Amino acid sequence: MNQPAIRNCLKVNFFKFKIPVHLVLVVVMVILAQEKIFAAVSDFSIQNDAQSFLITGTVLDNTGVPLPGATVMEVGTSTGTQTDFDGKFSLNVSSEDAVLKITYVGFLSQEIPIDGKKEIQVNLQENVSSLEEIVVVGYGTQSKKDITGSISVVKGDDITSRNVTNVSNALQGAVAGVSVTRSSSAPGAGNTINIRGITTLQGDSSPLILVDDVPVDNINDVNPDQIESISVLKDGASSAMYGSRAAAGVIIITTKRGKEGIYKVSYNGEFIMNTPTESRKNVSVTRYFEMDNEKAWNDNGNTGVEDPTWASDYIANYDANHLLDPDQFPDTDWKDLILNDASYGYRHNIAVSGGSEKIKSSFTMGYEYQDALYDNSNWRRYTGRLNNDVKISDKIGANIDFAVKLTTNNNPVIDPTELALNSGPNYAAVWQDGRIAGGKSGENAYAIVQSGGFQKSESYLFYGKIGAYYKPTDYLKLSVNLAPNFNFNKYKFFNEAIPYYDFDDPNQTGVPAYISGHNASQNYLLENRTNDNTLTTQALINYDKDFGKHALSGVLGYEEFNADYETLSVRGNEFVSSDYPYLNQAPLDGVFDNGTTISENAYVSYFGRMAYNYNDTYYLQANVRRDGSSRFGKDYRWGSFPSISAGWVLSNEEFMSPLSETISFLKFRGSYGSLGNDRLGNYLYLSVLQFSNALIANGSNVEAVRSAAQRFLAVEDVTWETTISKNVGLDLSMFNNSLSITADYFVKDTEDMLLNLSIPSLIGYEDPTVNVGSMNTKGWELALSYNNSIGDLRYSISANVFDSKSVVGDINGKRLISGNVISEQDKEFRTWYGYVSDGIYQTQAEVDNSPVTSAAVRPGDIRYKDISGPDGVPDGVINELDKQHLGGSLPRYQYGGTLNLNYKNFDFGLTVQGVGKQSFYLAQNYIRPFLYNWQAVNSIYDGNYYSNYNTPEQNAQAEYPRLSESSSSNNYRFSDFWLKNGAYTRIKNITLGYTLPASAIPNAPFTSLRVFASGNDFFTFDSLPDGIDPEQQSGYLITKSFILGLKANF
Amino acid sequence: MKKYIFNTFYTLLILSGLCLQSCTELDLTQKDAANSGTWYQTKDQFRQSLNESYREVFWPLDEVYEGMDDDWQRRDVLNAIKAGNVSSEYAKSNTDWSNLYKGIARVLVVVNELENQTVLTEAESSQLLGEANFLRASFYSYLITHFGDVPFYEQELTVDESFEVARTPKEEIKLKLYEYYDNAAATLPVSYNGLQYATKGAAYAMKARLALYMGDFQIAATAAENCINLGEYELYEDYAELFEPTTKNSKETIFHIPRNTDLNIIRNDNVRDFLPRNHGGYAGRNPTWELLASYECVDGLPIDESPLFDPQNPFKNRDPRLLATIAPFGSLEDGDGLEPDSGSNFMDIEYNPHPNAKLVRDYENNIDIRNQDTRSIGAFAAFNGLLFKKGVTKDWKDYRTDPDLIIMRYADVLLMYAEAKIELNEIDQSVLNALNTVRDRAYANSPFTNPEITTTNQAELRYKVRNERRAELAFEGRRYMDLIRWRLAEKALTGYTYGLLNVTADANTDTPPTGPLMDNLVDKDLWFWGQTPQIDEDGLPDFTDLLNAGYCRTLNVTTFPERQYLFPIPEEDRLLNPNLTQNTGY
Repeated sequence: MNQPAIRNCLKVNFFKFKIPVHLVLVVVMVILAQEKIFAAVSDFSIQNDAQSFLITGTVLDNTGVPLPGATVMEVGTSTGTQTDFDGKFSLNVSSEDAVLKITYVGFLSQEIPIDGKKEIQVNLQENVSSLEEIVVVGYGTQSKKDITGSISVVKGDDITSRNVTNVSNALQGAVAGVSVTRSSSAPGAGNTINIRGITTLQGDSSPLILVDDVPVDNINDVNPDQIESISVLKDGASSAMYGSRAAAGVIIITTKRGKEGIYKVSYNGEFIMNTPTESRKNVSVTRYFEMDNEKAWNDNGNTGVEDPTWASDYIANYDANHLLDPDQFPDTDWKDLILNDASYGYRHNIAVSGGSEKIKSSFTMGYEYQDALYDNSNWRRYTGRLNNDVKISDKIGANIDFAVKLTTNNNPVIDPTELALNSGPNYAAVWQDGRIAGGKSGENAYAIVQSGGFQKSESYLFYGKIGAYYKPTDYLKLSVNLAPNFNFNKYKFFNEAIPYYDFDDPNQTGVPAYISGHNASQNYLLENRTNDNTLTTQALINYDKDFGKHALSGVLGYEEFNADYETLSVRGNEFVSSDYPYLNQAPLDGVFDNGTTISENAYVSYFGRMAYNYNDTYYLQANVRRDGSSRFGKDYRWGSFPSISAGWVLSNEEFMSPLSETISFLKFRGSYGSLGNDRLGNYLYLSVLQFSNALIANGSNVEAVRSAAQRFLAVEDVTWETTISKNVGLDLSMFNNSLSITADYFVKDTEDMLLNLSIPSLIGYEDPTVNVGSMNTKGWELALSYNNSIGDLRYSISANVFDSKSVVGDINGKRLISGNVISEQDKEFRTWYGYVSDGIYQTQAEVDNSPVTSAAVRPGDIRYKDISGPDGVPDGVINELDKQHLGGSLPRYQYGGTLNLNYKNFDFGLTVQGVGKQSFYLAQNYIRPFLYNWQAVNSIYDGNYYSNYNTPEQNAQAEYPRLSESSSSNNYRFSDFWLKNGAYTRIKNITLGYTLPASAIPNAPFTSLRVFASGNDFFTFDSLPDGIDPEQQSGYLITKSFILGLKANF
Repeated sequence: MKKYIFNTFYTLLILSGLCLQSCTELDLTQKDAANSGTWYQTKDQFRQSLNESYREVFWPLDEVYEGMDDDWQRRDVLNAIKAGNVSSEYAKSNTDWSNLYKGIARVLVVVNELENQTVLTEAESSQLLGEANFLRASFYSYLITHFGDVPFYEQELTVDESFEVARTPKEEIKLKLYEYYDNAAATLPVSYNGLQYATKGAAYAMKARLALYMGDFQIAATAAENCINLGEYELYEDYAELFEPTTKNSKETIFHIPRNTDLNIIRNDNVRDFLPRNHGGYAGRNPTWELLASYECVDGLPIDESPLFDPQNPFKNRDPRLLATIAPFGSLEDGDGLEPDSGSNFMDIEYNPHPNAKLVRDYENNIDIRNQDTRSIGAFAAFNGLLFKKGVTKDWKDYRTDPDLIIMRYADVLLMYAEAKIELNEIDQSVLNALNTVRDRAYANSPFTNPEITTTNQAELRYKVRNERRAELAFEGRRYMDLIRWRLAEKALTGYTYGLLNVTADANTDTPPTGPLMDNLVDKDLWFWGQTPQIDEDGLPDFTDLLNAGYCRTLNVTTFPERQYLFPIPEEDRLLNPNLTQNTGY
């Protein structure tokens, strides 16, 4: 069944052109034509006129290290050269009065008059303002000062100084506008990254990640040690080059490349220890019994005996009996038993780089090992990358990059964390003689971790880029790139039966019982194999030329992208034994398909950029990208995404020169761009029939017959969702570039938003994907940095803060409800949605005189406000019509900051990160006593709940509702009662390092050696109840890390 | 310069050639699924689309984990139904609603395609349409009997319509459903050679059930009679064996959804939860004392009237179906030599909840083992001493079992026929025959004979047929709707759930148990029930006297508010569709 268009608006698309290649040709012809026009001015050569004056010199940095490859030019001429390995140069200049201009990336350029000297030494100062820094932008590079969009750059050193496994962890708090959310600290766990809020309701809102211009799936596949720099493209104009896939922002990772010069080797090694930041604590076993009795007594209407479940004598003697016979009277500390105090890990990285003029290479290799907070779990990652730059002639060259990543992950069949924290203490995990006990009727996480089988995954990623370029002139570069990405995953899950016997049956002669999920028949094996291959091919034309005060640069490109994804999944049941966990050991009729899947998608794209500036003062840039996506029907698959941006460097204007002492640099910029998103499934426009099996009797036999059904509605004209992004900003550097400020304000409007329209289930289909509605995101960012020194103490401080808020626009009057959050028109995206609590009922009279959720409500239960009814006014009934918006669920006012100090050979770094405002849901698995009727009671609940044993005054102060199972659907329905202030500030990283200079040790084999100690997430300031980390979701605990490391250069 | 231009141009030619010729294929379709545009071209494709509706997910039972009627209870935990706090967020009603509408939509696609198809013969088409009518009528039947007025449609809804459609009165809908069933009965065969899809008999029987639930007794009686007159069905000889996993598609079965362990379709309601703890189960779901009390004695009298009833041996001299339904213990008949503290063989291990029975016999291994199923050993042994037995065999032990999901069986049809005729006050021999046929089978494999029903008094027969349904159909998911349509739910489900008095749990088999259970009951030789519970005029047992005498304890307070005679309309659909009104009281 296909649905007609839900969208009615007719769009005029200005950028639809059928054969853009022709346009490419036209533009190139124009470029070539104007080349003739400017040929006179641009005729450029490095040949010298008849000269006689030879000057030699050395170029060093401010610490005296030679700078190979620095450019030395005679001012006013085209005479120039480059420094050699030792930073030395020699150059014939026109006269003794010549002035030399020395430039080197990352350093302030200097002009030096020769003044008749034969030999000079130049010490370049590091460019702390980094305005000259070369920034990687889409399909090219730009100087930072020339950028008109909003781009943040994180240097590789800032990533490695965080000492984390995953790049995404290192980005937390590092960049204004980038929000990184953790949910667990399991080894290798990923994070959620959002750039400038969220612009899509249900599509993928993770940014596009590119490694050296090639899209990859996971930012964490890259070893932080291999990173040269990370560019975060935040506004529409910057990311428009990636059009269709850039609506959620773009992160470009540039890996380290070899530099001309002697080969260098470096090693760095770290030892890591992780411990939980916080974890839940539970009440004692006897208190558990008392509270369980109170619960049962409450649910029996407070009639009958008050110790219905656990007799008073039993409780009174329990501790004593436990000492005499721990098997019969267990008091199990599940947390202590299952969770270790700490997990450990280490990482080693080796890098070799260097090269000649013809071939420059960089080779890096990393190995990392982490174990987990519980047994039988570990994670390993091997990464390797080889980047080669081959120069065949001045005009022809190639880049050949290969990277591999292998991750292995061994785990028990479950993550036992939740059960370790929540299991009731009165159940035995192991008997005194070491045999496995039944836990709670077979719920025994300890047994499962120790002997329930294993899961094992191996993930192999091979990727790389082979590119060839041709430079017909020095301002024109034609290149083709081929970038395959092969990802293979192998996953094995073996579940073993776990019998257990009674404590007084040490010879195991009786009938065994089995741990839940591990019955006699549940020796089974699950094998998954995934192939995930992508291929990106690109053809690019880059152009970059100055004409006096005019500078023009541009890119034209064509790109194809194919992805195919296939999973083979097989299950083998009824293994006779667990000794051979391989499929061929399963009985023939016990092996079957377990959900094999296949899918594909592809893009074809054309794109171009034109950037112009006059005198480094007035900037104008335009981009356009046209994409075709296989996810949409033939007539709806092409989308064009243009952008334009402009900049004005005020500080270059004459009238600003009186202020030049104070203001080193001031630029205003503005941009407007349109971006697309299609990431909401692969075959949205097709009415797909999915197959399944039904069983039908045939006589007294049963046969499986194929059944087919369309489960999702398809919408034929589904097409791109478009985000219009507007940005204004300024870059200001003051006091000789020591203070720099970047501020941005942005607005993003998403239109034709793709979403799974929540439709009433009475239609009989799962929700369809349609282009409905709009969303508006507004936000701002502010980043400051200050560098200076006091004597030998050099210091730098930086801070950033940002906020964004997404408000849902017109979505055809629909409401999107997802668990406890709702998104609807004019309301913040993902707003908490539930009942409004009004304290705890204190007396029966209060219950009798108010609307209640059910007749089971008693004093001690949570009271809710009757807010609405069928006629929009309170109706005396508490039901779904009384649900209200309870504030946004997403973090607001996120901030970060760093302090770096260098004193002689010591260095110190401090990184802070935080969230200014967040509404945190205290989930049932954390707070609810006797969850599933047997789980433990959080000690923060005890003494803080309404109880018949309390005085009315104590009950008036009670923080939590009474103990009751019958009222749990009243008390634990989602309401603002369980929303807490989740704002926090974290000290993300503290590092103290000492660099041992080579000169300190005679004949030292190394050139420098740094040792350091570092701590991640050591301190957190928040106002949540004890035992819960503000980033914690269910599962593996958030940990803090202590790291010792050393880094040596050879 | 010329060279540059030449080289540039040359490169561009290569590049643009690359663009134009190797353009990536953008017309991608899902390789492992069909496409609705190319489906419905063959008979098999129609068949496969209809097969979808025979999946278990579309055939909900009125059963939940904690029990939603007075036959089941789960320790001291209540489901929202008996806690009286059903709301529009109630999981069962919401899941049933969305699954049944899925079933309806999937049938409607086929109905619509059948109208326009050119590939099927007239006969094939009308057979498929008959089946489709049977299926959608059955799905809607569940909806209107549980939710009352619901959105009703015969053409697939558009998205916009789904946001606006209002509820149609159930009285209107039911007329349509009768038509669907009539069409199905007219076109479907009495039986199949090969795969057993819906039959004529199933259409009659399901129509009878709907009519009975809706109070249309004449229609119900006629439909049931039509089914009986087909002569196709008869009662399976052995009541206990009928429900065992090895009894597949018996001659009594009219409509069922098969299960099969080898095909990985098993009974999926967590069977471990109601198996004995001596077999590794949890003994958490328990038959209620009310159910145990409701079975007649073998003289045909209720327990509070029969001289044969012995409260200390509650399974003694009882309707044989009780022994097949609840795991028995104590003496079972006069002269069997068993005492109140005896157990019975259940899946080769003695079942005995008596607190002094700290050891029980493992008949398979011929050893005595510690009795995990008495509360003097395990605190979580059955709280009321009762365990589910119907259809349970040793192959349930690994918690994977595949008994047929019986939607309709002949005994139900006979009882429906009798009930409809009784309500119409058209009481004749055929009514008594229908009832006694069912009872004869019940007593067939027992030492007792059926105490035949002979009365023709309407009120007496109403009492009899209602109790007969409870006894015959226990744990088959019918009791809940029976209580609802008889308007007995408020009475039957308001009060308490009962359990055994407390006794100290001590795994040491040498330690004698202590506690009120011993003091008030066992030591006074009053185990299992201290006295005979009373049965009221609706056949509902009353344990107040036992409670007041201190012979038992209450586990929960249960409440069934009047609003719960209908399920609430699901919250999410109401929030999306403002025209959906809510049922009164929610």
